[in-house]
Amino acid sequence: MQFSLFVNKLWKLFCSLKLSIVLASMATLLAIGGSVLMPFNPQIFGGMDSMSLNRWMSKVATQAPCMTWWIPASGVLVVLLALNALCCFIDWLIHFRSRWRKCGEYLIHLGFVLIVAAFLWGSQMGFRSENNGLLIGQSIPLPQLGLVLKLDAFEPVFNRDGRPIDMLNTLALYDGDRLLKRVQARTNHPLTWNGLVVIPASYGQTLRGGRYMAYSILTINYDPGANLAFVGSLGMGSGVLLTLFSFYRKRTRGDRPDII
Amino acid sequence: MTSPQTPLLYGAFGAYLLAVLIYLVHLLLRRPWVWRSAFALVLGGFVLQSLCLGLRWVSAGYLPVTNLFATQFFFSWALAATYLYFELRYRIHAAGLFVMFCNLLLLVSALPRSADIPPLIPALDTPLFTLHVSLSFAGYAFFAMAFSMGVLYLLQKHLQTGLLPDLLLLRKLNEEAVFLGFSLFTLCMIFGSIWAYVAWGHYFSWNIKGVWSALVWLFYAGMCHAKFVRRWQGAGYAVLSIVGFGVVLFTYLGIGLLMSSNHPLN
Repeated sequence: MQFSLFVNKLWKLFCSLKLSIVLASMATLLAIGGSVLMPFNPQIFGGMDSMSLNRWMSKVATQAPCMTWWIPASGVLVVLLALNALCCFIDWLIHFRSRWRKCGEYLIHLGFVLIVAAFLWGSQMGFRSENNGLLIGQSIPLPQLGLVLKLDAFEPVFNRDGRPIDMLNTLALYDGDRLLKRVQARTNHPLTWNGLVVIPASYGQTLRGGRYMAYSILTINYDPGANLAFVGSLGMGSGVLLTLFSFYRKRTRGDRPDII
Repeated sequence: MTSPQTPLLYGAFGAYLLAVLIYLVHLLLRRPWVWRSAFALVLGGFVLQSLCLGLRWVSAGYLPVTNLFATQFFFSWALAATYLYFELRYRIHAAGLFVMFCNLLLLVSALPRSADIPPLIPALDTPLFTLHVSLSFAGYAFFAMAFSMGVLYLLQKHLQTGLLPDLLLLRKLNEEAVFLGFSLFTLCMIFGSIWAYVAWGHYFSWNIKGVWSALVWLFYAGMCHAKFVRRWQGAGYAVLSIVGFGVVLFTYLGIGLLMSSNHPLN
């Protein structure tokens, strides 16, 4: 009996709107304070985008715990906020018949939950690799995925002033001998495959057989949560549009916000 | 900037300046023809500025929002649009003066800068960039309006003057500005994340600008909830609007100008 009372109280707490405000405020204040350190300590924070968060936490953050503790602390608050949003969403589903007009608001909640879950998944299971130089015909193994990436063709594109404006990379992804995907990747058009994203980042030149040959420099990232994050952003985006629509309808009818 | 963009820009600036002066007169002399003249000037200025923006867009081949002049110019345009939205919907008259002051301030600091449109770097050549930046400034403009309404709410609470709208209307306008700003800023973050993923391979950047943009979103998400709590309604919400705009200004100008970020403004 006491246990069910406790569970009931815990459920109400996690469905509480006030808890959302407290968690969002605490996470914001903590990250505002902590992030001030970022521009002044590039040796600690400068490489965060070039590796997964999990790897950065174990490789870099452990070396400077006084400077970096605010990141896991803010992370815990954001995860609790996502849990809070998930409970609110489930509670809304339970009372859907009387609260269906709030579809937009709760789609935003669901989108937030999915994005946070996707970010955690990608931070734990993903990897990032920069400055992978490949000449035409060369391959690079991706042992974490058991795949091989091959550069079939490469051509830097210049404008009339000789300024580089794009890099055309014909990339092929193999599972053993089986071709999984072949695309022409260029700026803003990467090769993507089940969370793997290959970005043409830059290019260079090397002397081979008495003549210069251009080679492509690729960024190879793997984030298994990327597709889930995209679904979350779709949910959030459509939630925003639905909420805008219902906001104007409510204002036309003269509704006021609920008061707690 | 080439002809006829220059006269359009100065024409818009002149119209906004005159409108602000007339709105100040309206605070003392409350006659319908006074605010109608001021409103007509804002509308005229907005049309001129829109034409100028359109010409710059056509001549560049992309929405020019890649340096400080261009972002100030676009932010000023978004502020004027936000003011017109509230004026047409609620007849706020001089209550929107702060937003028009901001607008003038942006144009005054933008006018001495070079208006030349720089060549577009390849990574920015995508509709995702255009959507990201335009929605971001549209969101900022509504946050500026919320700040304005917050300040006026606190003033009205202490002064109880007939020169300002009543507290209930100011609260309603503040909540609407925060809600619209948050909605537009959410869409801006979504398009920005998708663009970052296809351009750099990750949808969230730990660069200081990325972190503070997420904080702006989190702060206003909290505000969208706070309006349902009695303790935070009215004065509390007004204070939060003021603090929130401080965070927005630091994210746009503080980080863009003072720190090394992936959103440089120089």
